[in-house]
Amino acid sequence: MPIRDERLREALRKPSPYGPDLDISSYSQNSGKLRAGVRSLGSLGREFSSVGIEADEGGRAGTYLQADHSAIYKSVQKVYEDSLEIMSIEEAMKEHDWVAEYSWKLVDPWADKYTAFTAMKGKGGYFIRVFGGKEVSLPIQSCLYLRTTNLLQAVHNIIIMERDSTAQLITGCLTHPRTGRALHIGVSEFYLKRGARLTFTMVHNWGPKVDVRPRTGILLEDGGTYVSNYVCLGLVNSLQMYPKAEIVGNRSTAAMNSIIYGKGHSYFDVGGQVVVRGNSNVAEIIGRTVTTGSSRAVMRARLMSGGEGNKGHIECRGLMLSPQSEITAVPELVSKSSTSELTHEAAIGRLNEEQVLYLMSRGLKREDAESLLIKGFLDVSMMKLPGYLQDQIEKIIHLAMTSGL
Amino acid sequence: MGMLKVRGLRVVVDGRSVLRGVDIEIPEGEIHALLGPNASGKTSLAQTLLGFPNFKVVSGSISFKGKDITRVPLDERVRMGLAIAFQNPPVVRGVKLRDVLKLIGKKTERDKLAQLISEMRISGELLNRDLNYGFSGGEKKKCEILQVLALNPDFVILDEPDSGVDVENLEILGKELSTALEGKSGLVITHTSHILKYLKPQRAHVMIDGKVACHGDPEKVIETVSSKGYEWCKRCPSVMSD
Repeated sequence: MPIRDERLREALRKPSPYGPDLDISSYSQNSGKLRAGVRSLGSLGREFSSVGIEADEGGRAGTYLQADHSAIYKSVQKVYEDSLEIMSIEEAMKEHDWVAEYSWKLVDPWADKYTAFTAMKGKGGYFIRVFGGKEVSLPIQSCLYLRTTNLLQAVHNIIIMERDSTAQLITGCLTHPRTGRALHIGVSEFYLKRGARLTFTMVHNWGPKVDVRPRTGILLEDGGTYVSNYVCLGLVNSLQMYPKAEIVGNRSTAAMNSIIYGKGHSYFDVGGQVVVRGNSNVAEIIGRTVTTGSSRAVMRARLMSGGEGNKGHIECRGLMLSPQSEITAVPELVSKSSTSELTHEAAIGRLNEEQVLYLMSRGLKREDAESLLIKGFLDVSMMKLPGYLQDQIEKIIHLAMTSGL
Repeated sequence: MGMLKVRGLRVVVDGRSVLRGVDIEIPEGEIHALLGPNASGKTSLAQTLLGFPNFKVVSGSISFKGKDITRVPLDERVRMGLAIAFQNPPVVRGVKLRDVLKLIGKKTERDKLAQLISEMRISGELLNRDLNYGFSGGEKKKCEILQVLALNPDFVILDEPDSGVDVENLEILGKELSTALEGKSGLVITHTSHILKYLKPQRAHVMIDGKVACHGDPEKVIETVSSKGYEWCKRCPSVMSD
């Protein structure tokens, strides 16, 4: 929702410290005609399933779908009506006075030009609230679809997990195959109240001329669990994100996993940071990046422990399948307490020839052995997803790989 | 008919000579044992037979089922019916034993594979673990042999299947191998010769300094080697040859 603050105009010129700087004035800020709503998801093209969005809503607790600036579909299955609500951010602000208290608290609107633009002129985004004590057993799905060439899509999402609630959210973002250059900014704020558990899985499939700047903040109270899984497999011009989770309570867990499969000239600067202020918490940031073609990737991870007895681990692993590609790993540990244990490991390399030959000694052809190793490297089981979702993500990765190898 | 014939095989690895003229012939339906001191070239021979590219054949030939396979690529040799259980298999992170069995087990019926897994007491947990990651010595050997048997090969190379295996697991492996390899051909490399109690090879060869120094009746060879040591073999190869 727009913030009226003249000082934000200055921030519109402020580049992000990471990733290539973009001229946001070169994008169309007001076009993107309002799109008509759809009655069901049955008309969705196959490209939606490539980002985990299911047209068959029987497998989903609820759905939010936005095309360009228009919320075109939202629904909650009847059995979950007393468990959650889904609506556009604009509707939520009208419906509940208190939503404003959750707006721009975890992401700083002055942080850079992308947050400033969204704060001033953002349109759309979803509001999802899971009610206290409710367990939503099926995933909730949301989809942000970029349809118009040269559009700047800037959305603001707020997710509130009330006390002792449990849910899985899968967000698929994609561009229409014929969409040319465009910019997507997604500001997301996640609030996990005491004992809340959320698994947030994002699958992105952008176009080769699309730039993407997600800006995410997560707040965890006591005994919460936040697991985010980011999967980006297609082409993108540039993607830069550095989501930040803050644990203010005790005995909570924050895990951020990312899987990047870089193709073509794509540029990725993807990471995660967890700031732990409470005690006895666990934080984990795991990144797996494969680069092909002339793609470049920076894996960024930062863990900071300010409380007692916290444990944290960073793992950045890069696999270069092309000599023209480039990977940088930047793990960072900061501890302000001697009772916390923080560790990291980072490794970048190519496919291990001994392993390839070992698999070939079982009769596999070289390309099949390599493909098995790459799939193994992009190990989805680390995401701790329910079986059917894991199978779905594995299929998506397999498809992306086979179309690129 | 010779299932495997090796003639005058000379091999170098990184410019270092590891095999210096090896001659071995293994007829169809026979299992032979290969003994020898450390670094005598036993594993080098196994890996050359399979076609590992860093083992460069300088001269000589390998023929398998009547075909010259000296220049045939590794994976093709396996598809022709050669298989190896490694002494020290590498850790493969992210790839589960179950994944590999799915891909290679096509030749073996599913029920037979399930029976093998149960007879070899391989747990579901082991099937779902990354290949060779944190495996005990016995687990590694069992999984190697399971993969080899899943391929249903015509010729099996077992590289030290008994090293690092406790008595109980040795019995499981030995019994499984003796049934599975019945009527098949193979070469069993062993340092300790414990596994030979179960496999009962028809012939034994002793390798010294990259050459087969002598060969003969397995019991006689093992007895001589254990009583007199490999040093003695070096001096007197003709005593045991038949």
